Amino acid sequence: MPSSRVYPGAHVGRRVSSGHLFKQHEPFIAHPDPRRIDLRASVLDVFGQYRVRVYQQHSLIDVLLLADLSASMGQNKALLLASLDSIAGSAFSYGDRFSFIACGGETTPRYQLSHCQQRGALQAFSKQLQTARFTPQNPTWQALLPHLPNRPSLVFLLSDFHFDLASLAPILPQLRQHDVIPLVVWQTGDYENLPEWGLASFQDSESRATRTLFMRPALRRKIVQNFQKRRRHLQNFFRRFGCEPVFLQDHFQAAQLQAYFLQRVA
Amino acid sequence: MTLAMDTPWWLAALVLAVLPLFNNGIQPSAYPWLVMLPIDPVSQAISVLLRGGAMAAIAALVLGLAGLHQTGQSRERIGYGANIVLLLDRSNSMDNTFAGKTPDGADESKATAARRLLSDFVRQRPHDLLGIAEYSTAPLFVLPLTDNKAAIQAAINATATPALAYTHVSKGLGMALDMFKDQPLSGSRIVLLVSDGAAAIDPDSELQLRLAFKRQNIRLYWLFLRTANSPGIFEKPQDPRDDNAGAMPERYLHLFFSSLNIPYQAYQAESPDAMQQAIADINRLEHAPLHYLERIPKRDLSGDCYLWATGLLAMLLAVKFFEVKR
Repeated sequence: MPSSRVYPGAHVGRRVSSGHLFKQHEPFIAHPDPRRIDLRASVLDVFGQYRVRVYQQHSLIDVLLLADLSASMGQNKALLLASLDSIAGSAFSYGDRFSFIACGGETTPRYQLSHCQQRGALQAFSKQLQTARFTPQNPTWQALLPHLPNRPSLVFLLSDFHFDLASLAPILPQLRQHDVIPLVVWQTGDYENLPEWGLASFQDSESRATRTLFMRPALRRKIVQNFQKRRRHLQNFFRRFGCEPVFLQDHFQAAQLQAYFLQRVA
Repeated sequence: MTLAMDTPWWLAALVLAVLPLFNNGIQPSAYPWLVMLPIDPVSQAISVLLRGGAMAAIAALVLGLAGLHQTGQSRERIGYGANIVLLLDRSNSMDNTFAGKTPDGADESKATAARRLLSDFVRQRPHDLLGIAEYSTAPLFVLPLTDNKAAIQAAINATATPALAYTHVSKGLGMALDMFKDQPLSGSRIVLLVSDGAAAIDPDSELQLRLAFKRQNIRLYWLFLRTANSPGIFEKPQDPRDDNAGAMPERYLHLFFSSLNIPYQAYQAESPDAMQQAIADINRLEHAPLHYLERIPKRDLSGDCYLWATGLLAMLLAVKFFEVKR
């Protein structure tokens, strides 16, 4: 199961191999590597057997952030940059490698940062991303697949998921070997913080269609209900693929992710 | 109802009326996904109303600019009345009183009395078509046959201007008869001659008048305003040598009218009261069904257009104040 591999916080790898950190002594029979024979330990051994030093494997994990760059995400740009900073920062502090792939309407990702381990490179990329153009089409998730690593990785899927989920359904099974965490970002201004009374016109960021609504409390309640329904629908959808979405509202809060990971262990 | 434009090329601007179909005037704000917004019938109705209102406002403005109006029309009407031509004497003597003196405040002049009584007469007969002709030395064309009461009253009041010279009755009669020429033969046709004297009719005119009276099927009323001590129309001269058209034109005009073989009635009025009596007589007699065309003048509708545009724009402005920004 993919989720069993992820633990919150830094921890040592359980595998032994050619690392730098001494782990324990093992009988020579178990690890037949004559270079690692520890003479002092072998002499002290009560059974007169050879003892071999074994080391912890130096274990790293790839952290990926796949971000939706369709036009509807335009209002979430600040959140996108904040999550990029935060997730990459925590990956760097554990020595993990961070990759970022933007997914817009085109067939090849426009913004891509691969296997980055330096803050400087990240900052330069972040600056570049600030002027990013958001495409007026739905994201083509299919385009991401060739750019994903083969090794099991931690994959964050950052989007508002304001599109038909049928386009995402064939992609998720192919991410099975990874640990996928969908980050659903919504602005409360789109539902809870709508005005109570008045005439407002809304234009779809992607299709450019407009709808004029006579806002009133009953209608706003209906919209909030729609979002709650959508939230349940998204949860059910992602649970079918063995992942649990995280809902971020307005701002990126690292604490929310922390709580999410802690919850998974419990 | 026929509508027409003063400057039709303004109508090309009606194309602008489709603009609200593309923009309903409410500043749209970006929204991630419209599917999340419910379809609300109330909002849809308001949206349609807004677009329709804006289109109508633009159309009304353009129609106003193009000068929309209703063209002049005529309407067929049937009333009880007559076609009456008032033939008024404008000779000098009409400005004198019945006593033959200059009016001094106590007595009114014959012209003033005639004006007053004719005004009342016209007011009592709402369905008549009236025309006015005057004569002095030459005939004066004043007003063709019309049902416009204001114009008739104005024409009668206009006789308050000082009178002119002599009396040339045959030309006046000719003009009065001429007024009926192009009128449909409907209702009775009356010539009401108001005069205080007469003149001899020369043989040429006499022949033509005889023909015209017959052809036009006229009923003639003569209101003779007799001045004191002047010969009346029914009087026979004591001296047979005086019995000629030159000496007694009134009597000979009366004889001429009587010989026409048309309905003819002469009233000899010697005071304003007698004149009123005569007019009341005519008023009573002439009530036949009358079939005529009432003219409806052109009506300018651009004012209405601007009024509508103002109302609609006010509505749109009110809606604009009701707009909210996210």
